Amino acid sequence: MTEQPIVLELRNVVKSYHVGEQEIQALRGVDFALRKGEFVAIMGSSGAGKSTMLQISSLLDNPTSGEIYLHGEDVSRKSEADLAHVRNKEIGFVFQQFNLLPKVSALENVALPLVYANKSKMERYLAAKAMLEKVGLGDRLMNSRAQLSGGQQQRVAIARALVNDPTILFADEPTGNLDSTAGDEIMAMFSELHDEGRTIIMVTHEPDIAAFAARLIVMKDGKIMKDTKQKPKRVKA
Amino acid sequence: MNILNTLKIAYKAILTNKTRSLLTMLGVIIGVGSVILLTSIGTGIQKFIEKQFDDLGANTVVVFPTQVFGENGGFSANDGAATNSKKFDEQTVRDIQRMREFAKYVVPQVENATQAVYKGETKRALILGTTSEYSKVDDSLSEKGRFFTEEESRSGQRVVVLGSKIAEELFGQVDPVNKEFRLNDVTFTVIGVAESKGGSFGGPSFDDYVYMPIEAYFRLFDTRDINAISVQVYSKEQIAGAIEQLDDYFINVQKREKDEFDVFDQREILKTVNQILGIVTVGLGGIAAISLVVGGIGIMNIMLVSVTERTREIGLRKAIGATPNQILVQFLIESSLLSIMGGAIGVAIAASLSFLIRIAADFPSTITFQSIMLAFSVSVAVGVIFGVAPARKASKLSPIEALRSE
Repeated sequence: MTEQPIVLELRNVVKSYHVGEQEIQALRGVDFALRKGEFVAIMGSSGAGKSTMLQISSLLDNPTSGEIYLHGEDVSRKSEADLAHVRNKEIGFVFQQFNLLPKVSALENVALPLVYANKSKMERYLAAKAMLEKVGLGDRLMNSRAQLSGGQQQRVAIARALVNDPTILFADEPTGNLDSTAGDEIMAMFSELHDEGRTIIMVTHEPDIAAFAARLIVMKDGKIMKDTKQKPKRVKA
Repeated sequence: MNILNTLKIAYKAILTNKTRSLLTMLGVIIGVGSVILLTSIGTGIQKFIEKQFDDLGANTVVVFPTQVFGENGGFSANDGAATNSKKFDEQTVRDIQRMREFAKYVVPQVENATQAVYKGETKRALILGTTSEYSKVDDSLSEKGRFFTEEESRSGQRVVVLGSKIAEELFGQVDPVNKEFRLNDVTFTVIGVAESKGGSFGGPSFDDYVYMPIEAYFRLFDTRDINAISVQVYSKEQIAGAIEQLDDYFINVQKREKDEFDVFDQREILKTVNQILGIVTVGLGGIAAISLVVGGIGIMNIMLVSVTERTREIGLRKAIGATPNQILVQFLIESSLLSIMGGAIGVAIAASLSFLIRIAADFPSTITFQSIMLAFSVSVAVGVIFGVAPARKASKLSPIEALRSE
């Protein structure tokens, strides 16, 4: 099997911030390379730096020092506005809290990234509808957040994350707010996406969830402690 | 992302909170509404007064043998100079009558005061001597009886037309027409009574005068001096030319100094009155505009609350690709839209109230295009200015913190 190209690379990334007088080093020199099609789970106790790792990798935040390469291009010093454009095109987000907009339909929620991608109304509608059908919510297009269960909301969020066909899908505790049945459904969907060749980085503190990934990174005190390949776990959807 | 999309997002955000949005707009509604209503009433008063002046003979230019009005349009201080200056005479009247291209009627006017006696009762009477053409300049004469004829005017018949007030003072309930009374021991016959014109600003009103043929006046007071000459022109457009020609006549033919005559039309007074009213209108509008500022603060307040409430939404939008500028514009458009909608409602309410006043009070309150444009631009400005702070706050939110918030 030929090796896939590297899509994201972190080189000696340090992130520190101040809380009052105290300086906190969330990341203390992280080196990490992500190849196309990988499904990585990042684990670690709270304060180990896994959330910061996710934020920096997903370009929500700039590192204090070190470089981030996306498709070989250094993006670590880009302006907030430029990063917004890069995120819109290259990155999809799935959050623990789902973060759907209230009072608007599932369709509009899914179409939201395309609004910022300057897509026409028709393009947005067709792409959002196709994505919702793909996650099994073709019959819930016009439902608002209040009319959807937790699992359904997270599926809408996944559809939203994928609608602009991003390079990397980031998931932050995607099952944290779901019961185990709904959680399994979501993880089955991640497995499926992995099989389709999607590149996924997922932060979790549950070993059961991390087991779905093909590569496991364990963080401690702002550094990567362990980086191993594993055979991904499967459940029936 | 285009403006239309942003507008739609803002419109939806406003609609999802109908009650709150309406309450937020209330300040702007009241502000814009009162600015427009007050200026419409101010404009109405201006129109009303203009009409009154028109009724008093707007096509009339009056010339005096002394300066009556100061340089700036106000009444001149040297009123007393009138007695010392060179009066006009009948030659002046004839000279002006020869300016046929504009002089439709040339009516000399002389004034004096004397005692009027009827059945032993003595009253002070203001006498105005003039020609029969006076009735053509002022069409309110006469309600009862008639005005004196050209023939009576020329021959100096001892006939008078009474102002309504002096008529009542002298004759009470008796109909004065065809009655005789005495002025300076000379007997005059009343041939008509003028319609009441109402009071002037504190001074003697037209109702106080006894009108008589100018020839009779000359004999009664033993003088041939003329105090004032009214010149009625054919149309308003001729007034400026007439003033110019009369100025030229007094300076070059009569060799008078600048302060030895005055030519003015009623519009000069109107101009002054309009200036005062304009200032009052602007003042009222200004006071009302304060409520617009208050309305703006209301919008800012609610927008700040809205930004806090929607922190998560802002964080999400930023995470999935909204730039800080797009967030800024979104909130600016939302506050402007609130303000503009408030302004539109305010205009609508003020327009209907103004219309009601027009119908119910028969008062010419007038909504001007300028006042609507002013109110509209002010409400846009209010929305933008008071929207900046909340919008900047929103655009500066860090997506990480925003997403983490509850």
